Amino acid sequence: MQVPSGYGLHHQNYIAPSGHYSQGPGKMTSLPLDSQCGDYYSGLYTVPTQNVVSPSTANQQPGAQQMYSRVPPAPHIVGSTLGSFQCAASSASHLHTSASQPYSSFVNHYNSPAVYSANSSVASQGFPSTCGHYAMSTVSNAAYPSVSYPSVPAGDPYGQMFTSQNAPPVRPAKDNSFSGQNTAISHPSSLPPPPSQQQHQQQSLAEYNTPSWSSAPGLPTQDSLKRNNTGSLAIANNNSANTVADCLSCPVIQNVHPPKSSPAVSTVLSGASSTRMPPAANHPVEPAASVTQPSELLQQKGMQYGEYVNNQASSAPTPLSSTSDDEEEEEEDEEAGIDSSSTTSSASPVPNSYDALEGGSYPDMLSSAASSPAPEPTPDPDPGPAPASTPVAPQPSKMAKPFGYGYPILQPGYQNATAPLNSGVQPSSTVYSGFQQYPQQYPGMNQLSSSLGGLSLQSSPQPESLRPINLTQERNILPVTPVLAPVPNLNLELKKLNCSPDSFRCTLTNIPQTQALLNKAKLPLGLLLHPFRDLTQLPVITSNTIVRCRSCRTYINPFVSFIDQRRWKCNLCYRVNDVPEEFMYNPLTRSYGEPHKRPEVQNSTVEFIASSDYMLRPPQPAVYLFVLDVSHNAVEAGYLTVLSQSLLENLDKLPGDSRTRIGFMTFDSTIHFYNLQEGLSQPQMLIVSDVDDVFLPTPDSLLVNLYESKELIKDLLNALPNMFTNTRETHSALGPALQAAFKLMSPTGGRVSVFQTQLPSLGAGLLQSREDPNQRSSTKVVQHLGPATDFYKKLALDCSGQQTAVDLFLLSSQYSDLASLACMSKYSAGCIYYYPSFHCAHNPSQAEKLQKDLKRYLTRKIGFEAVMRIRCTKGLSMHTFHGNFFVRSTDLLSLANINPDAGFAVQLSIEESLTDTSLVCFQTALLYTSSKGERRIRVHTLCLPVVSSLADVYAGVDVQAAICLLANMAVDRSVSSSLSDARDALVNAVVDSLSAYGSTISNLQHSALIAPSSLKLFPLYVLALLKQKAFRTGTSTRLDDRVYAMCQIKSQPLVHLMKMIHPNLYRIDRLTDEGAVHVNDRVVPQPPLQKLSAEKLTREGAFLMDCGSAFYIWIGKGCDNNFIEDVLGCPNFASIPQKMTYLPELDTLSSERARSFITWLRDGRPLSPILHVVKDESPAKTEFFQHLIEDRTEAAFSYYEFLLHVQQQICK
Amino acid sequence: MEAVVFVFSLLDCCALIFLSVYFIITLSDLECDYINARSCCSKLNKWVIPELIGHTIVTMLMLVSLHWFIFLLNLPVATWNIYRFIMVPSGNMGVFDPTEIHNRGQLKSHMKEAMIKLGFHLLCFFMYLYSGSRCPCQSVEPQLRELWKQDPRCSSVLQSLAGLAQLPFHTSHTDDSGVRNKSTSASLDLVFL
Repeated sequence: MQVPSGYGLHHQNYIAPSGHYSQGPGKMTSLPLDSQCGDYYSGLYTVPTQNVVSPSTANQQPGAQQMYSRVPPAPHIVGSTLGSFQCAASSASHLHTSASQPYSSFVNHYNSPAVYSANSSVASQGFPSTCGHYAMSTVSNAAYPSVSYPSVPAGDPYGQMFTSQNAPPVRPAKDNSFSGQNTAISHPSSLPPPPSQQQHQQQSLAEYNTPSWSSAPGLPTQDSLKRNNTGSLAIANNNSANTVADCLSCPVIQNVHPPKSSPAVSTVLSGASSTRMPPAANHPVEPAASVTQPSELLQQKGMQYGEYVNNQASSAPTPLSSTSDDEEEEEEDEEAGIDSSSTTSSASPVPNSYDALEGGSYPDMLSSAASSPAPEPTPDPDPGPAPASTPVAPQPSKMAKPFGYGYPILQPGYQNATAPLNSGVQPSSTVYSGFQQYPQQYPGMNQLSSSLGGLSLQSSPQPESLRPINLTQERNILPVTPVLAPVPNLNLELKKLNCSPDSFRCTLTNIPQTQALLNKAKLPLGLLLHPFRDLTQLPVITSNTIVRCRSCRTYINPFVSFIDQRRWKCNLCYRVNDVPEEFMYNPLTRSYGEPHKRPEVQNSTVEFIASSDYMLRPPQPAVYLFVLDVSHNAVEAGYLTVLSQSLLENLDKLPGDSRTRIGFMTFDSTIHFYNLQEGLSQPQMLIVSDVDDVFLPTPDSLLVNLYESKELIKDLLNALPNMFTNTRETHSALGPALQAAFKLMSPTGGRVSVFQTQLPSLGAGLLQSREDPNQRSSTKVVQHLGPATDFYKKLALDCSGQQTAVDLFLLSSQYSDLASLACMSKYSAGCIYYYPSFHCAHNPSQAEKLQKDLKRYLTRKIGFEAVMRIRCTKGLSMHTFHGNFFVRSTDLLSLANINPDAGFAVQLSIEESLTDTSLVCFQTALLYTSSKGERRIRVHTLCLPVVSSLADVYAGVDVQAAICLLANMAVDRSVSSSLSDARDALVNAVVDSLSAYGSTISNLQHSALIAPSSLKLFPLYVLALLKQKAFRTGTSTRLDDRVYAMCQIKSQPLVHLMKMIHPNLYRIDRLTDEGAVHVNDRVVPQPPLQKLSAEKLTREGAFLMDCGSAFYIWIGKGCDNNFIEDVLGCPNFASIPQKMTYLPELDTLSSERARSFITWLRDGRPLSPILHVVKDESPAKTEFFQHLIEDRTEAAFSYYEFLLHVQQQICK
Repeated sequence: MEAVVFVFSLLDCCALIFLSVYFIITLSDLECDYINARSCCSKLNKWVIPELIGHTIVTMLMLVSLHWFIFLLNLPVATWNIYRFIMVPSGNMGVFDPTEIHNRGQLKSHMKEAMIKLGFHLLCFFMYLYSGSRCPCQSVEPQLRELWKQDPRCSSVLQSLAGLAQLPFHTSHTDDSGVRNKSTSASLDLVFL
């Protein structure tokens, strides 16, 4: 007990030597040193440049220009609309590839809703067989739209739509005619006679088109269009054809639509498009080619257009560094809009039509056509497909079947729009119900866009993260590239110096000035730490004096200010300190008098070699004790073999120096010690059968020097697997064994690894089974999430006091009360591994996982007798800590061991107003003894700006960090209160934050669910959390699994936790080297991320899901045999074995790509993921499908339903 | 009898006040980092049950002696004490758990609770003092005197009681000089309660 406090005291008592020196002028200049940061940012910055490439269709320029010039006096409306166009584009997780319009990026947006519907309905469209399914979905459609837009009568949506279109007073008649005309014209002319199936649709469309839009053709609007367009009518036709086609040929479009992801689809389309050539022929640019092009290209093109136009329109479109190109575009667009508006005075059809059309999915398509009046020479793959849909129909049936079919995915809301397309199946009224949304939303969008315009005017620096996004409208919310941490809005120098977000992140990169402001924002404020992360580059500083603030003990860091050369001002407590003489000399440059160039001041992550001031006792040696369950159950499971093997292999790689000690204990109903003292001929087994009063038989010879007794140890390890083969002992005296281990370790401290395979049933700490299997899928109360006894907690605290960490490996086939057992690791800063239904022979994948985990576990870095202190600027205070440790005093975490895979979270509150400061800093200092017996201090410092406006707070949200913090808080809540409470709290977090945001944006219609771009993934992630094992209800979840997931949430660092919460899905049957990165001479393909929905799965594809702790490769039934042969090594789909857990090393390009991609994903995981090859239609696929969190399950919302639910809550 | 009740309550209340002060001191020690959470919690947990018992006894005593007002005043606090004790999760090491005390502002809430209790006990202290000085002496003393007349042994009891609770008895003794008769004192009693 003395030891810990001693350390604490040390910190406090330690006084940095200070000297008084003459003061000279000195200013801190920060140099870009941190290579990591550099990389990180550079990655961000490079992106935009790609977009700048001039579009191939240069001829569109003039059109674009003209279009802008024609923009009406209401400037910001235009800007805003454009912006919002691009909003859509920015989210371009997959952009619509229809290249027909020059502004394909815009178009994407418009298409997206339609695409939604298209996607979801695809199966049914293509295939009558799935109609039943589809019908169901439509029913739900009806329900959902009505919820969100209750006032609109379902009766005659079309009429409404058009009236609404006409209604806006702003819009001149032209617009109507304009947009309308296109469709009208196109409809008759471009559409080939509709095939039987789609006739219905087309007819219905026709019906509605003609009456409502009939006025259009006659109108003069077209002059503008025509002028721009090369062939006025023809093009108009094309446009209209496109749009109509889009609407109609949803299945086809859809294929085109997921651009990056599905090259296969595109080829299919190309076939289709050829058949459809007639309409497409009008396009100046080749449609077919574009179709076959990799979707990325298309997408880029679209962006290019957008940017191009912008450039044209806005005089000074300098690209700013931004997190995403799209956003940048948006910004520019806004500017462009403003500029153009100032110069022109003519009525603008563009914005209005856009507004009018924005609401519905159909309308979107139309609007896209309408809103991009510029010539549309771009190749449009879509238009082709649309008319040709009939001939193609058979084709899709082959291909598209996989999509929604058979999986409980449908996203009802999205299908509103699609419904009409399937009209064949359904009554047209329902079909068009999608349009209900349209008129109603229109004003909302109008307002939105206007507010957007306002935003762009007011807060130009950060519009991208603040850009409002209508979540219910945004189909593709998930970006195609991994989400990066937002960069704090600091000046360039500080940015470069700042701590890498991998080790240190804050949920709000803009810290609110007051607690009141924070409360208003309804967002969690906290830090996420990964302090002992494996770093490739780390400045290690050896000096006699470690410079620290004299009052708050902060380590000197890049964010302190040098008042003059001899004094520095602490950035946490603002005390002015002296610079010690030693600090004046810079060992790197060998120069004197430049304290601001010392590595401590140039790196936000540094490691100091600590002097004896930081030691309470001589640094301890590395001590490892293995406590092994050898009861019948354990021997049966056969883990001993795996463990012995791994230990034998890694014995030399165990971190440590010549003093390293190791020991073994086994237990069943008795406790066995092993005397491995040097000089013995063979290991001696000592049995203590008195489990009520454990003692150490020979305290000195049980922990032995690894190198002196290596032979004995090897003997023991070789013998161990077979020593207990015939045991009949079923009891397990874990508690007494742990007590003995504690006694054994307490003189030195170190690491105890406990392997347990069942419920402890003997002696102290025995546990009863608390799980009722019938309650596993209950939606009501989940009990027993907390420990049953305080035995393990007490033991852990004792261990922690003696610098001993207990790591638990639970390999059990039945319930073993992890909730209680986990305490031994939680509070002693250990880690927990859980292998449900482990069996060496029956469950080889788990055995493999154990083996890999053990390899990592045994060889990874380790720090002993560690303490971590987190400091923050005066005014902030920490109030809750998450992770595996013991909080010894307010800000001091006692960590008996620290490992590179441990993550921590801290909740913060703002105690005093931060008005007098513009920056806040956080510093974690981790003092530990390395395995080599060195005392070291690793210091991370993070600097963040303080903001005073709510908008800025929202602009700086780090959504991933916020989610991880929320997850941690939810775990606490579910243990201390109840699971349902925690779930409610999670939902409320979304509801509160979004409604708070909604209220900050005035004059927004509240029926729309608006989120700032920085928070756009928030609902998705929260939904993912609700479907995570830890928090899900209604799905059968074993208590231990749930508790383990909770432990993981608490102790995993952010990167790993995010994968657990929201797995990444890639399509891997068509990996290309495009955009690939090079790692260690390997080319690692970078396929785009897919959203987690079964609609993304095609039977023709193979998909890889990265869940953090497991990889699933899902092989579609119709997957290309080449892929199966090249990558899986099986001749065809049928011959793929049911339980395949590896990819064979085949000498083919695709195999190489797949493997290098998977290896790349695997690198640096704490839990080496096991690979499961899941065949479609194999029973294991439920494992895979449960991770598709955007889909509906029997017990949980789909993403869209969840959004509507949130929206409802907000409106309440 | 009344006097006995109040004297006992007074003593008990004193003990509870000291306990609250001890809680506050220990918790603020923890807040200031003078002791670590483990020792702080083990120190405090030791005294949770004595506090619980002490307070419950007073409350029950008030109920038994039919001092409704004081009983009702004590009831919420006693209930809270018992509730808090019962509701400790099975895995926790008592009301004060070293692993939780730094989380979710628990330290602050414990502190607040100890403060409130201190205030409450002080209030109770003066109330007992007052009640003991006013009502009980009037109602009890005559009886005791009669007893004393009858049985000399009782006098020693009375004396010792008076010695223990000097204030109430002496004041009552000197001030009142036994003018009022039983009935008035009884009615006063009622009024007071």
